[in-house]
Amino acid sequence: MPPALDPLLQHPTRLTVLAFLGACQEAEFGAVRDHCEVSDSVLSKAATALEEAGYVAVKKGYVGKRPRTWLAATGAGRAALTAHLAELRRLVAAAEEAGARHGSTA
Amino acid sequence: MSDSTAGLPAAEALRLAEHAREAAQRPGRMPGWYGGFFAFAFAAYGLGVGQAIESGQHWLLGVLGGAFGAVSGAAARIAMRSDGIVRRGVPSGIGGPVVLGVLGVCGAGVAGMAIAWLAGGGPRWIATTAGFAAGFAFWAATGRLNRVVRRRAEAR
Repeated sequence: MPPALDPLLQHPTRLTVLAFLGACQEAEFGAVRDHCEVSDSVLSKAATALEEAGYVAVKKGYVGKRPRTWLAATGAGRAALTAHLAELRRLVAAAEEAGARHGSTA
Repeated sequence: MSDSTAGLPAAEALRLAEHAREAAQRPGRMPGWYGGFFAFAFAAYGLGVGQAIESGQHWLLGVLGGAFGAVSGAAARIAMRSDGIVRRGVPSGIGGPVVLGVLGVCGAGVAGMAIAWLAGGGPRWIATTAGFAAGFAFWAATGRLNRVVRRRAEAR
């Protein structure tokens, strides 16, 4: 049976955040917020959901007196992202193939 | 990006994921202090090695190597995290300039040693010159790399 789409990653912010974290080792909260173009609260909600699913590890620390939160994709998160993207690619390819077949019979 | 909970069309989801992946792999500029700090560390290491060899204190070579490794490792770790993203491997598109930079540092160190040796310098001069030459080559390479990164960011 082909892997199904991960319901958690059907949300655009969660998908973007996990895709971003999956492509680096770890990233600071502010950097993820800026690159993914989301607000603090939206990122915070997405990070919490991903952390609860075990897809993201959250590490809090300090640089001097300033608090810093670092996010990193876990092994489970990377695997879920890979499977989700593979399924999306399969769906897109199937849709294109169906479109091409429909075009050729019209 | 909105906080919508609606599902995404597959093609749009793939585009979002690809855009995020590219953003995470984009090279970042190194902090301004990094090149100068490393140049100083290289030069100090070369000077220390030269002094240790000249004075016959060979046990110091391991200590100096360990200290140089620890200090340069800590500085590299701070620099890598300075823009908030710890990348995996060499960021895309700057592999060539990085390899050129490494070759430049090695070449400058060897050239410095050769010049000092040909000029009749002792171990102290040879190691010191190698350290200074490698350090300044490293500084120049980081400046060049930052210019490459800036040009790529401006071209986007």
